[in-house]
Amino acid sequence: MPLLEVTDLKTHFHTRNGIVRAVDGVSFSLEKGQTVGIVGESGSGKSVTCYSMLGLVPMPPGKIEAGSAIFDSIDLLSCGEKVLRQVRGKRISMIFQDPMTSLNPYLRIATQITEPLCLHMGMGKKTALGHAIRALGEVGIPEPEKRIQMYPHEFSGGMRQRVMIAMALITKPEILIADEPTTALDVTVQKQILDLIKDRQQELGTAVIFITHDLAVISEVCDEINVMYAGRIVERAGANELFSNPRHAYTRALLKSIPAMHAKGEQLYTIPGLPPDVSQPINGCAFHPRNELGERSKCLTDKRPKLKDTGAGHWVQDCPGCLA
Amino acid sequence: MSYLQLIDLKTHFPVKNSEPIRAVDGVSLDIHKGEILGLVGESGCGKSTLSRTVMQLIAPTGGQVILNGEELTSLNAAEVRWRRLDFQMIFQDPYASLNPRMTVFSTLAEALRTRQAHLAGGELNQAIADLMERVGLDWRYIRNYPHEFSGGQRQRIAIARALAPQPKLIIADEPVSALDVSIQSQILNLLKGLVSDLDLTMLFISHDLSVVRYIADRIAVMHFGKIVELGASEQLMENPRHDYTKELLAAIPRIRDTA
Repeated sequence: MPLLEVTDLKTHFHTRNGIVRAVDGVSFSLEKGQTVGIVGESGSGKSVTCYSMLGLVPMPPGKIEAGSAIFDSIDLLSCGEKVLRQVRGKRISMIFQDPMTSLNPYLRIATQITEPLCLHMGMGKKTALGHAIRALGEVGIPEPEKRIQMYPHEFSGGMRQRVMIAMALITKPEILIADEPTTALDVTVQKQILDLIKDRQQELGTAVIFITHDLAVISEVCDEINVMYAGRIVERAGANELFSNPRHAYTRALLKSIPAMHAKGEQLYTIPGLPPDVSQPINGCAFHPRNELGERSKCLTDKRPKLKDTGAGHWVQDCPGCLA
Repeated sequence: MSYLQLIDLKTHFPVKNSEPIRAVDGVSLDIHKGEILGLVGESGCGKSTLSRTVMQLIAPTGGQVILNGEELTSLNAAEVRWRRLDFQMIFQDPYASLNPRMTVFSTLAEALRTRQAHLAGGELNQAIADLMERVGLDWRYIRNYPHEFSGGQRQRIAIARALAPQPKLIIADEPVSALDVSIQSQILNLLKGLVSDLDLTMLFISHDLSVVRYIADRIAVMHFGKIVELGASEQLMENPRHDYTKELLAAIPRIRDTA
């Protein structure tokens, strides 16, 4: 049985401009110790998927319309705030893109990092502080006993992200959700942070859900990758399989538009048009108007394509136009 | 002939009771006319301070900035303001660099009038429509505000604004770092096209070597306020000499080899 199983998750936002179908039927599962990636453009619904599981979607305007997310026989989507509080920050933690806005600037690191220990583990302040100092040391912060008494602004971006990782892993969670954890960082620091996440994961056996729009990053850290477009998963495969044998037209287009894939001076491939407006109902294949690499004329227009297994764990939306 | 010449440029920031921070510490660079020079380095290495010093937004502590044979560092403030029309900047975050209370029309009109003060009426409308077409924006959005656009479109507005005073040198400070992959490629194509069509010279600043390799003719690697390596981009990527360049190259995440 998988550690986490998300089935047909639908999160919609009811706004003045209509119903925004941010997540519109997403299913995936996560095994113990596995790293699953979710990749997609801004607005494709990758963050909302994870926020929904932790009850972090503001309601209203957000509403979880359907689906389940079974974690250790608890349905995270329907269990209610009280149960969720026992899980969130203890058994499932999250790190965010911008460590400056996710740390409280008014509180010392010590206060913030010991909070989950005192709350979830019932530790006393002194024991918790000892644990916290050790945790900071483990994520490579020099002089942790001194640094723990400082404020977030006294840390650099990379160091702040290390603090976030230490804080997220301090309760030894079973799942870590990393939402674009390195997007705001430099390449060299990015590498350090990715290595750190991998190291800590191996040591603690944590499963990781890794959200990013950077295909190169995701190829380095993930075992399995989900490609999201307009609130749905369009393709899922093991990392090697996805990059060596991309099936869906959107995945192929994304891979084709990376500068590193082009010879110098060659015109970069760009996906024509814009992502669809998810406040309008989409009837056929969502990628249809932008499909250049497949055969647009064959795209489904009357019903939304379903994910189908093409063998060896490679799933792809069954739209003849996008697979062409 | 070099168009922009930096000679031993230094920008230091004084710190109370301590050594000054040497953000830019003796940089000498030549940028040729029509060239795209990539400047790479990690945060805090002085890339942005260097670009702001070239723009004369920060007074240098020492050294010279020579643009087209004229020394900018010796000019007074009014003269600098006039010269600045020749060199424009594009910033990383188009959310922060556009005035949220100005429409596309007023943003571009203001920028156009810096060079052609009397532009008005039909002529102004035409000039704005031309600019918008140039950067791939639909002129129907002329009365819209920045918040009504996506990140990529906003960056296009920022580029149009930079082009309005008919500059010769563009300094692009991480222009695609905040954008998605698919949008990033559109903006890179646009910038590359503009440089060759309008005969511009560009200083392209980024921490992403794979982007710089693609767009730049030559790459300068900056580390702790100094240029540690400079070379033709392919050559520098394939055969890095300096240890720091090697380290930067090794840090680039790569898509696993696809046969």
